[in-house]
Amino acid sequence: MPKASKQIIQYSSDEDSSEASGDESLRSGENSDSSQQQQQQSDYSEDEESDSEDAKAAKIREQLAHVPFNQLIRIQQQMGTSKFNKSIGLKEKSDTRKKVQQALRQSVGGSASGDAELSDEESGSESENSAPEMSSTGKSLKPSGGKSKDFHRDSRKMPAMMSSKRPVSRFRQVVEVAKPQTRDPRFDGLSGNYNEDLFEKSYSFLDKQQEEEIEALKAQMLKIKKHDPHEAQRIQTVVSSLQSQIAAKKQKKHSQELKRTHRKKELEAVKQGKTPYFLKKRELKGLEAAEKFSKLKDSSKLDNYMEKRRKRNATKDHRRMPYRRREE
Amino acid sequence: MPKDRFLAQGVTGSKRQRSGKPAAARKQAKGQPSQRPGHSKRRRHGGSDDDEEGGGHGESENEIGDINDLEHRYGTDENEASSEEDEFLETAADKRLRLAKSYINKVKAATELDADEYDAAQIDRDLIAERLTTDARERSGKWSRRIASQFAYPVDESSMMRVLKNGHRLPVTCVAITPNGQFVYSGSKDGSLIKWHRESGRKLKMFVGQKKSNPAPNHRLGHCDHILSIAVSSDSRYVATGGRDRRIHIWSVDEDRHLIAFHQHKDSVTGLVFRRGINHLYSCSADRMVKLWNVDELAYMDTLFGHQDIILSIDALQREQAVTTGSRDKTLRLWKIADEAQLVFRGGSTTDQNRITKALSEGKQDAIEAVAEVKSLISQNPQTVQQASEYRDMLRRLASEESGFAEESVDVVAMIDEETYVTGGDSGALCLWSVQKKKPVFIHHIAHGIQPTLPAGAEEEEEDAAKLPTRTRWITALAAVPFTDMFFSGSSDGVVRMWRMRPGKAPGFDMVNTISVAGFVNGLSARELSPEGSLAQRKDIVLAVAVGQEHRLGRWAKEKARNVVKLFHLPANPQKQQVPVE
Repeated sequence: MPKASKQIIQYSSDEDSSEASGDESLRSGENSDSSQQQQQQSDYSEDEESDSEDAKAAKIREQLAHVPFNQLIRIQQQMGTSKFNKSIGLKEKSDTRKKVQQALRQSVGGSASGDAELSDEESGSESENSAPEMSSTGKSLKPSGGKSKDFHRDSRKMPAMMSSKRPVSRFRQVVEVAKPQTRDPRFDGLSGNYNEDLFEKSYSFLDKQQEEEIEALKAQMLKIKKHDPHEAQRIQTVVSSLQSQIAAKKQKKHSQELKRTHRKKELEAVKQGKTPYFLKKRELKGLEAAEKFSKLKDSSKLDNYMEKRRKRNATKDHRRMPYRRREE
Repeated sequence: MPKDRFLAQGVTGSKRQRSGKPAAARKQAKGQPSQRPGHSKRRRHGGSDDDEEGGGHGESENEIGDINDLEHRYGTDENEASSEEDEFLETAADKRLRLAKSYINKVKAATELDADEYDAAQIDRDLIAERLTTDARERSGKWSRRIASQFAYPVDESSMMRVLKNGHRLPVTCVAITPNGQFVYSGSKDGSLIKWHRESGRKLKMFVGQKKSNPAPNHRLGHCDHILSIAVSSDSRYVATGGRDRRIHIWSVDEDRHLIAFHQHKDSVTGLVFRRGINHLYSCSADRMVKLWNVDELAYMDTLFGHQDIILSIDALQREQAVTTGSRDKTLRLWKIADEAQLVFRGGSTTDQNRITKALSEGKQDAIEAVAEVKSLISQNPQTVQQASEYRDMLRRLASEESGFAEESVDVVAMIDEETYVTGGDSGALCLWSVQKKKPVFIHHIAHGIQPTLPAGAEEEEEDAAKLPTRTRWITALAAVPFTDMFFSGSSDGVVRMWRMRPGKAPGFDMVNTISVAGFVNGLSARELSPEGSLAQRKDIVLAVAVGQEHRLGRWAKEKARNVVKLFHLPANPQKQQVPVE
């Protein structure tokens, strides 16, 4: 609360004292080095501020001089401290607060320099809040995604500013080794999009190769069977896995075919004006099962298959039954 | 009512006695009866205290003495006629006035006036004004005095040079002139520190180094390994030396004795500098740390981290800032000690064909007046003219040969003013830096020429000579006269070059003079002498050059030279007097 009044009074007293002693060199001589630097910084900001803004601010200050203090505080709270300060021409002298923030940031995170965080801070402080100070400090205390920056420089051409309090290890990278750039072709844009049809057409030779491999492996297995049963077993597993791969591919193609035929049917229906009906997975499965049944029936293995299926489902159900009821 | 001081009303005039003496004796000791007007007011509570006081009321004057005692008024006893204004409030303006007066008195005392010959008042005003303006300029941190053109004449060795010889056995590594201009200190690889008298060149005192093989050296006697760096405080009271024995020894200039050895560095101490105006010492070492010391208290203050390779040199002026070079990490760092921050400048510029051709054509781009001025300055010294023409020939040859030199190590630094620095590296490039840019603002490539590919005297077989790479001469020493436009650079090519900063907006510097000095120039120290009764524009320069047969940090090469300190007294040429620019 007394902050605003102190600042206003300070400003007027500065003006008086500057008129009294006209010697610039003495004034600069009095200050210590750190305040000299601050002075320099403030000189820098003074250069940026245009004269018209100063004049405006001076006018506002004149008018405010007659306003009672409670009202000033109310205005400040309504406007927001930073806006208020700007309108009366007070420069941002939050050095101590900034230093505290910097110290906190140092303790929290790493030490890269950058531009993003200052802009975040500025935007945070400019928002009108009832307790502007609290919100801005709260924002700065949060580490911004692990990239907390210590010091800010205005442009990349200026020297980088770093903390001088962190020890550096004796080992350093003398020669910069280029990091090997790994790329995953699955997610790389360069690889293009997967075109299944094209893939099958261009790599259809692989299927033939696979079949030949299976034949070769079978022959090898027969040879080795006598003296090395383990090796034969291994080859057998490989062969069977390859065979099941082929079977799976075939099955997949088959189901795709079914889908396609269904879709064609629906397309025709749409042309006639009806709404399309989309196959559910379960229905597709049903279609496949129907085809399977018809095939098995022709080869008269249907009974065998149904028996196996029943057994399988029975054991599953049995396993899933709760413990007590199993006894029943 | 209890006899409690706190509860007594109006804590004035109570009969408690501060000291054992009776009140009357105390009064006499004070010497003056203070007759303050309105003292009767202060006895206003006397009536209520009557019950407590034994019999003190009759001594009204003693009570007043107690009152004065109690309230600790400044000047109440001295000023009999002290005014009615009880409070002596000093406003900001009054304080400034008081400080300014005391400052002027200090300056008056410091400037020695030769009152007889000249108009005393005039001299008084001029000298004080000059001193005040220089102080103000120094505090502003910007160089402004242009003096280099006064020193562009050929150096006459008989009258201007003095060789400080028969002192060091091994190469002299560092040299420093005391600010009062009386003594020259030099340190060498044999661990010995010698104090020379500047004007006569006599050896005043030698602090011999202990042997390296000594298993238990007494560090209070001095160094026991190479001395690598030296610095003198601005009040000319302390000398600091640092070396490969990892110690910083502080010596007293007046008493010629060893004060203390700081042991905190973990590797050899390669650079030392005192801050101007205050006895703070900054040291840099091969352990990549910069340490701050308070020499008045003989105490360690602080450590600064940041460099990634050994720190080879350090410089500082008036501010609490220092600038260091980090050899192979190719950085120049400005340490802002108050902010606990460092600014990192990136060195490692390449001297490639493009830059060489640009350097060749640079003369045409500059303003014609500036070039003409430099040419007129150079023409005074035929050696300089020859050097300049050799330089251009070399540039032309290199431009056609497709050679390039990369600066792998930034070796030496000198501060010209608080925001301008000049560095030299192993590519022979002298780089000028400004605080606002992370890259050098101006580069003078191959400032000291090319090393011969084969040592002198060896037979040159054409094939072998062609295979050997051309190497530039490293810049081994730099010294600037702060806040002026002049600085010196030294290398192993046998010539100390004097450079002058270009006036005007575009930054840069040109060579204006050369001084022949054979051997490795391991250290340079330049001071302005202010003789009594002289005005600001004409100050002589004293330049001390530490010459050795080897480089101060290692034995890469050996030159035919003597291990001496060469002292040059360069009087300001009165014909070429330049008015200092504000």
